[in-house]
Amino acid sequence: MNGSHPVDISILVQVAETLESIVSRCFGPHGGLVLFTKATGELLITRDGQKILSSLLLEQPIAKIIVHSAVAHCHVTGDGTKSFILLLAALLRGLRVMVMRETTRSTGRHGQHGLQLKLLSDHLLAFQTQVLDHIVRCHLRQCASSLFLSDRDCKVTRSNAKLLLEAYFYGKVGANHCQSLSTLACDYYLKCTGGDQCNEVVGFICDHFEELHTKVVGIPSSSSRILEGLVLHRDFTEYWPTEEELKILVITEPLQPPLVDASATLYLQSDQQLQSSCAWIHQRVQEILSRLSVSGVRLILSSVKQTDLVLYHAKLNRISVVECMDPEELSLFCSISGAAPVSPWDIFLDQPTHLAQAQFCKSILLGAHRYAHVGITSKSLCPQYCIVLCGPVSGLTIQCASAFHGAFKMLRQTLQPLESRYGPHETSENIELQNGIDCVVSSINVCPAEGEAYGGTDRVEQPRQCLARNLIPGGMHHSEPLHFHSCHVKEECCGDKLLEPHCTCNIGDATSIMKRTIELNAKSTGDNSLVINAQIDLIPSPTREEECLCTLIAPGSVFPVGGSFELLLHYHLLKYASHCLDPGTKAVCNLVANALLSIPRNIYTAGKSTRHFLHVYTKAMRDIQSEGRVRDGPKMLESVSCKYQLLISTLECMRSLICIDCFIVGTRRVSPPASP
Amino acid sequence: MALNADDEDYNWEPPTEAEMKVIQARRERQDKISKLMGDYLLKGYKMLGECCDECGTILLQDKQKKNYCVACQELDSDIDKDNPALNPQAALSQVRERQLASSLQGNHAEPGTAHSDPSPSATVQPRPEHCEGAASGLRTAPFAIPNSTLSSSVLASSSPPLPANGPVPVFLNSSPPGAPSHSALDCAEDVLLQKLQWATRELQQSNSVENSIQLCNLLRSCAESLRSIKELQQL
Repeated sequence: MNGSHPVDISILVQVAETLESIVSRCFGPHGGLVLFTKATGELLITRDGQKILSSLLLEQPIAKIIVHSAVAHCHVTGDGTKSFILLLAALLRGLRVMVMRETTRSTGRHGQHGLQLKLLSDHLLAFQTQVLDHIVRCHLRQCASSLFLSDRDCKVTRSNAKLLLEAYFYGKVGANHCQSLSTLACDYYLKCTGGDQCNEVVGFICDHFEELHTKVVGIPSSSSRILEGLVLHRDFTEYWPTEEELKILVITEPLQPPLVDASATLYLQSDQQLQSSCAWIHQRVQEILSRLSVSGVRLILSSVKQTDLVLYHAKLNRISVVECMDPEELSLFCSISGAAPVSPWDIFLDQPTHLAQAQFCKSILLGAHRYAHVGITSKSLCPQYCIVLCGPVSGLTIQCASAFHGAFKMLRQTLQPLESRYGPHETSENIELQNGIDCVVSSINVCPAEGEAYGGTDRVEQPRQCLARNLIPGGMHHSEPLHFHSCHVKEECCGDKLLEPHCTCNIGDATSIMKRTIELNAKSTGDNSLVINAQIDLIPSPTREEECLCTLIAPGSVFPVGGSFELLLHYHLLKYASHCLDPGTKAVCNLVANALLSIPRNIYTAGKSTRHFLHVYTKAMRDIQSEGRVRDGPKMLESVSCKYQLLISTLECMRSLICIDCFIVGTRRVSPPASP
Repeated sequence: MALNADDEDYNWEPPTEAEMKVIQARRERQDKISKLMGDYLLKGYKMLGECCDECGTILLQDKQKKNYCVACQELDSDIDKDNPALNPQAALSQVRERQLASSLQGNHAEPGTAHSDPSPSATVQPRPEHCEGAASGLRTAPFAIPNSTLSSSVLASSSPPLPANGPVPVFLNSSPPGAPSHSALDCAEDVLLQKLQWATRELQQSNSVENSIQLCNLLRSCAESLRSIKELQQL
C-alpha cells in the first residue's frame, strides 16, 4: 500500500517488544531452542539469534533496521544479537515512559513526540562521548581482569582461554556441546598461535574460516578434531599417494594448448594439417608434464577442468591432479604456501617457479566424501591446521560451525585494544564528581594559589606546581578545588619535607604527598587508593600516559559472566546521575542504567519469578559499594570490549530509530535517474 | 528535557488503585500482544509495514496473503468485555447492577453485604458467580451506573465487526428459576433490539464477505437472546 506512515515511539516499542518476545525464549545459559517454520515449509530448530532474526519475514522497515543493526554487530563481535534486542527493547520502553511523561506534563495531551525525541538523541550523543567513556575509563577498567599471564608477557593462558570460550559456547550452543567445542576451540587457538597474542593469525582464521573448516554430517560430534595441513574440498581426479616432500603446481588455465585461440581463426586446407596440429598439441602436453615431473611436481591444483589428454599424461608421469577447485580455496592455499598460479607457457619455456612446498599429500575420507589432504610448509604466520567439525544432522553441524566461527571473532575482538573514538576532551561538567582522582588532583592544584597563606616562599610553591603539571594528564580535568580537602593538604604541606626546594618532580616525595592525601581521601570518600598510585607511576613517561588516554579498554580485558559488567555500569551510572546537574544527561543516565538491568534480569529469571535476579542484584550492589567489584560470581569470563561494543551499537541504533519521523512505502522499485 | 521536573514532581501523586489496575491490565495486554505476534512470526507469518486502523497494532500477513490483526481478532479488546451485547458475563453483571441499584434505592441495604450474600432482595435468587466481572459488578454497586453508561455509549459508537459469541444464547437460557424483575428484562430487550437495528444497518452497508458473515452471526444471536427473554417474560 502506498503512502506515508508516521512513526511513533509506540510503534518502535511494539516492534522491539515483538522481537524481544521471540529472542528471550532462547537467551542465556538456560534458554531453550526455538522452532521456526520457514516460508518453504521446512523446520529450523536453533538458538542462534542471528539465524532466527535473519529467517523472520519482516516487511516492517523499523524491524528490518533493527535486525540489520543486530546482525551487523554480530559480524564484528561474533555474538550479542539477542542481548542487542533485549537492550534495545528496554531502552525504547524507558524512552516511551520519559516521552509520555514529558508530553502529558507540558501540554496535558499526547502531542507530537518528535521534538522530545530529537532533543533526546542529542543528549544520547553527549552521553556516549562524555559520560560513558569516562565511566569505563575510571571505574570499569580497574575491575577487569586480563587473559594474559602478566602485563609484559602477552601469552594467553590455557585456563583463561578455556573459561572465556566455555562461557561463549554455553550461551551459543547450550550445555550439550559446550565442553567439547570449547576444548576444541582452545586447542585450535593454542596450536595456531602458540599462545602468543597473535592478532593477525586470529584475524586470518576469522576471514578464511569457510575454507579452513570441513563440516561432516552423520558422525557423532565427539569425532570433531584438528588436522595438520589443509583439507581441499575436492577429490583427486588422478591420485598417486606420496609420503615424501613434494612440490605443488597451482594453475588456473588448461594445460593443453587449444587448437586455436579464441580471437584467432584457423584455416585448414586438408585433413593432414588438422592431424599435424593435433600431434603438435599432444607433443606439447607430453613435454609440459615430463618437465613438471622432472622438477619434482607431484600434485597439480587446477581451478578449471583439464582435458583427458592431460590427465592421461599426468597418470603416466605419476602426478596427482585435483580439478575444479574453488577460487577462494585456491587463493587461500596460495597465501598460506606462498605459491602463485603459473601459466602453461612459463612451464614450457622456463623452469617453473612459484611452486608450493608440501610435506605430504593424501586422500582423506570424511563422512561420505573423500577429500584431498595436503600438508603445507608455510613460511608466514598463517595457521597450519584445519578443523573437522562433525555432527549427526546437518542443522546441528552448521550451528556448531557458525558458533566456532563466532568464537574466533569474539577472540579477535577481545585481543584487540579498544580505542576511545572520541579522544580525551575537557569536560566542565565533571565538577560535581566525587571521584577520588579528581579530588586529589584538585587538592594539589589549590596549594600554589594559597601558597602565601602559610608563609610559603617560591621554594614551597614550586614543588606544588611541578606536581600539578604532571598530574593533570593532558589538561583533562579542570576540576574546581573543594575546600575541605585543600585545608587538610595545607596542614600536611607545612611539614619539613616539602619546604626543601624541588624543581623537578621527585617521585619519592610525590608519593609521600600522595600517600598522605590518599589516606585522607580513603577516610572521607572511601575510594580505592590503588588507583592513585597507578597514576603516579605514569608520571615519568608521559608518552605512555597519552597512550592510556586513547586506549579505552586494554587488550585481553575480561569480566566474570553473569551480568557483572551491566551491574557495575548500572551502579556507576546511577551514582553519576545523582551528582549530575544537567537534566538531560541525568535523564539519559537513568534511562541507560535501568535498561542495562534487562540483560541480567533475563539471565536470572526462571519462569515468571524474579526472585533470583533480585537476590543477585542486591548482593552485587552491596559488593560494589563496599569493594568496588562483584564477588562470588561464576568463574567463566566474558570480553569487556564486546560488551562495550554492544552498548555502543545499541545506543547508535536507537539514535537512528528515534530520528525517523515517517516512512514512505511504494510498490514500484525506485530506479536511479538515467545518466545523460 | 525535563527542565521543570522539580516543580512538577511536587504535584505528583501516586496512582490510585484503580489506575494501577488499569495500568497493569494495559501492560499485560501489551505483553500478550507481543507474545502472540512473536509466535505468529515464528510460524512463518510476515510482519507488514501497516498498522491496524482500529487498535494501532502492527498487522501480520499469513501465507494465504490474508491480513491479520492479533489484538482485534484474538484478544478481546479493552472495552468489548464491558459490552453486554457481546459478553454474557457483562450482560449478567449489568442485570445484577440494575437490580442492586433499584433495591438499594428501595431498601437502603448495605453494599457491603452484597459480596457475601448476593441476594439483597428477595426477588433475586442466589447464584454461583461465573466470573470475576459479575462478582465485582455486585461488589462495586455505586460505580455501576457510570460503567453501564460508558458501555452503552461505546455500544452506540463502536463500528468494528463484532465476532460472534456462541455462549450468549446458552447462558440466557439457564436463567434463574425465580421470576426476575421486569425492568431488567425490558432493559435487556431494548438493548438487544437496538443492537439488532444497528447490525441490520451495518449489514446493508457492508462490502466485505467476512464482515457480512459476522454481522449475520450477530443478528442470529440477538434474535435467539430476544426469544429467550420473551420466554422469561412469559414465565
